[in-house]
Amino acid sequence: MTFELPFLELLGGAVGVLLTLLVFSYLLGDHFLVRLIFYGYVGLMAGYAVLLSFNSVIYPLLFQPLLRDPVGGAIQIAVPLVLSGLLLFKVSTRFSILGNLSLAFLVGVGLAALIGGAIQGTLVPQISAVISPFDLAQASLAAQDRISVIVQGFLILFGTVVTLSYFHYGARPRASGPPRRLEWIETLGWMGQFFIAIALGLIFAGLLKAGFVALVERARTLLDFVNLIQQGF
Amino acid sequence: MDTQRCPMCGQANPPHLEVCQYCQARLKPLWSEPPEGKSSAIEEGITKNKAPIQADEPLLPDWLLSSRSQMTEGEAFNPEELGEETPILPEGTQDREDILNEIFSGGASAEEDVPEWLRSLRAGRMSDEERQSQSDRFSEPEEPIPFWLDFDQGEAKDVSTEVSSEQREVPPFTEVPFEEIGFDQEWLELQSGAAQGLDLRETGQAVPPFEGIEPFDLEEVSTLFPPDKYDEEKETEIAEGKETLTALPTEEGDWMSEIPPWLETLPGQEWVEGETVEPEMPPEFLQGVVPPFVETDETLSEIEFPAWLADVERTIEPELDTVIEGLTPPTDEVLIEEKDQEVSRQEPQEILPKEEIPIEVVGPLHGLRGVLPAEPLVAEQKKPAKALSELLVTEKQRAQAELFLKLIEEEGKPKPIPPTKRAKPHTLWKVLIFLSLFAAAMVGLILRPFSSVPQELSVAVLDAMQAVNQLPAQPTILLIVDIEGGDFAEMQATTQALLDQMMSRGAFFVLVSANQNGALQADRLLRQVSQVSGHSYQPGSGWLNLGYLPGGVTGMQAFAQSMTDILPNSVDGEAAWEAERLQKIRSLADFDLVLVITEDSTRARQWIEQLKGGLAETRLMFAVSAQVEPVLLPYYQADPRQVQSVIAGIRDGAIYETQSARPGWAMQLWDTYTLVALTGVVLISLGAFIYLLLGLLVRPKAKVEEKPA
Repeated sequence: MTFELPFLELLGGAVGVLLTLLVFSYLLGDHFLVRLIFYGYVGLMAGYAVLLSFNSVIYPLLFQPLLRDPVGGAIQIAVPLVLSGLLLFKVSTRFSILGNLSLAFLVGVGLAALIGGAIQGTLVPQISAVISPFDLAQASLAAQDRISVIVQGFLILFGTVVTLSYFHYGARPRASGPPRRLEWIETLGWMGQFFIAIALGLIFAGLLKAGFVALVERARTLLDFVNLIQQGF
Repeated sequence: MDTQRCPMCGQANPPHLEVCQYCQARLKPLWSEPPEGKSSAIEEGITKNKAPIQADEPLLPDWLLSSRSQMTEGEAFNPEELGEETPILPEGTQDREDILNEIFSGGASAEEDVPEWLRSLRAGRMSDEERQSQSDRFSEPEEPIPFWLDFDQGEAKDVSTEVSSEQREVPPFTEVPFEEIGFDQEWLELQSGAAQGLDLRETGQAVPPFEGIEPFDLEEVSTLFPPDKYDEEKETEIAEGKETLTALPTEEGDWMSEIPPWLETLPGQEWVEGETVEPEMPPEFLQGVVPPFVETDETLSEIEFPAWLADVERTIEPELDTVIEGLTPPTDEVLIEEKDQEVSRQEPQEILPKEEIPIEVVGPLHGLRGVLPAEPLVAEQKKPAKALSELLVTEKQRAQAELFLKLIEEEGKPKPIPPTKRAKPHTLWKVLIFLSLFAAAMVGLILRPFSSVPQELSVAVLDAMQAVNQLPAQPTILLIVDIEGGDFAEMQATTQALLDQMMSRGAFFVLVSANQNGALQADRLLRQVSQVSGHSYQPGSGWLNLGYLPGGVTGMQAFAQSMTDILPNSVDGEAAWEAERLQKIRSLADFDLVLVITEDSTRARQWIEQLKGGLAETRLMFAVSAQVEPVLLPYYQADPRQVQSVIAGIRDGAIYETQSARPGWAMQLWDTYTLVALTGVVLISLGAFIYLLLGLLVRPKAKVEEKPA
């Protein structure tokens, strides 16, 4: 009997099957082998991240400019290098305040980018999308389609309003009892729960579908390994 | 020294002055500082309404204390020696001499009733002329004494010989005040023997004169014994033997009749016995305001003060009492009583000895002890009592505190999680669900095909196919891959047909990823697609991997604005933008298409927001997991659209494969996926039904249990 399959392919398949079965064994409870796989995965990812950061960030942005042009490169990397160096003080509780400048810069720029992008890329376009179904002048549709678009526009507008009402937490104090929202806002918020439940249901369904695909892919891997073994022997 | 300095202003003054000529502050204290730490005495007028002062209390003037010490040390009485050291007798010596003579003589009026032993004493008495001559020898012209001092002198003269055991005591007087008079030593011994009793005389013990005179109260004495009646009563008592001189206190003396030398020099009006009492006219500036003073036989307490003076007296009397209380040292009984009270309160406090009470050394209060609460006494550091360091808590409070501490200690201790009864059934349910789904997957993989591929059309898929078909030949496509290893199968099934179609058009892919695994997954994805679809795509010729884009949202924005500066090199270290296929690519707008492959809804939204400004929406496509679709549909279905197309999940991938006639990974998994999804739906429905059934069964049972309660 000869073993015709490449050894590395067989070894890789065996490791894959073993790891898959061990992960499945998590259904029976948390045990040492499962934790071994989890820790091994985290360790591999951390090591990969370090190598990737050095290869993708540190070397090209720090060393390469210096190697290419020591003087110009030093000037180029001076400010980022100082700011990055200040961040290292964050590991010390005594001198962590020195890293606040870099951290403030990072947080400030990050928030500016996030908020600016959210306003320009999400808030304004979504408001425009809610309004646009009611712009009959631009709609070159038939009368029946116009009604459908308007109805759909009302539904979208209603869903948006009631969903936002649910997240309205402003309440007024009452003489008797705790503060409570206005009655009409309370009603709109109650209706908004249905839209939120539908949206969350969709997201959960998508997550479930992704899980089903992953399960099927793993089952196929096991089956392919078995077929591989059968073919090998 | 020829000069004396004022304790207040520090100016030099002549030594004979009593008051500073610059600031009018007293230069010589009213009471001199007692020797050996003993305190000064208090004026008789201050203690007139207070408890009797003991003989050993430190409230005597130094001159009196020094006299006492001399007498107690047994020094020989030498009138001449004392006469040299003692200053000139003050005014009134003549009067006191007469009084003393009267004491020991008993008065001429009662000569017939004098007993035999007393006559013997009188036999040795000096003649009046001799005493007068001696008195004149030591006396000198005195300065006039103010009438108020003279009044005291007069009172003292009248009452100095009056003694009573019931009278309040004043500090004893042991000094020999009249040594200058030149009493005969023998006569003095006889007098002292008479003063201390016949027993002492029999023993021959030398007793200083006047030592046994008890202190007295001037006012009461003068009231009880008017001067004109005293001699008769005294002689009568002596004659009847009811009272002898032995009844007199043996340690007290008439010290009030003695005026210190410094007091003699005070300005005032001289009063001479026998003078006609005339109205004392006040100074010119007080005439008309103060009535003339008339010397009467009334005691000081009987004098009716004018209204304004009575008001002043009433005003200062409470304050004066307070000061007196502070000045008067407590008696031994009071101290013992206070100490007992302190012991009973368990708050022991130190009673400062009298020697530690500070004495004023400068200023008008010089020589007085404890007049002002000096700072060292107030701020004295004392060791806190032991009782103060202990908490005064009840047993209940102590028990509550112990319980609280016990709770805090137990709070920090880890507690084992008690095993729940649902653990085994829960694990069983999970295992059963997994086995059901896994069995369905295995059945689907083994027994396929048993279902048809999706045939319906999808607008999003059609838009994606149209966008790919509109790509030019040899397009340059930016492929953003942000996926993890767990979702790789779904993303491969979703994008395989799409990437296959792009590869068929000779597309060149530029890979970039905003997560650390994305670059690796992107390289793996293109290899898999190329292998499955039969393409010969290789890194470098088919794609260029720029690797990891750090910085999150900030990195995305920077990459959208200046991608050549942010990621200048590929993961292989080569200059990325100098490649042959990227010579014309300098910004996002230069790409023919941007395809974002992600399974993270947040990351998908961030890419939309950051790429919006640098790229037309007609060139932006998304291939995402099924779970991201609800988030991206508003961007896709909006009018105007923000993305060209969204392909979500294995279903859209299978549709794309079907529509593009490119069977791939999605169609291979579709049958199995459908069976597993159906199994999942059945399990969910079954679980919901069972949960509903259990709820219906449990509610009536709970109501039945609540009714009896």
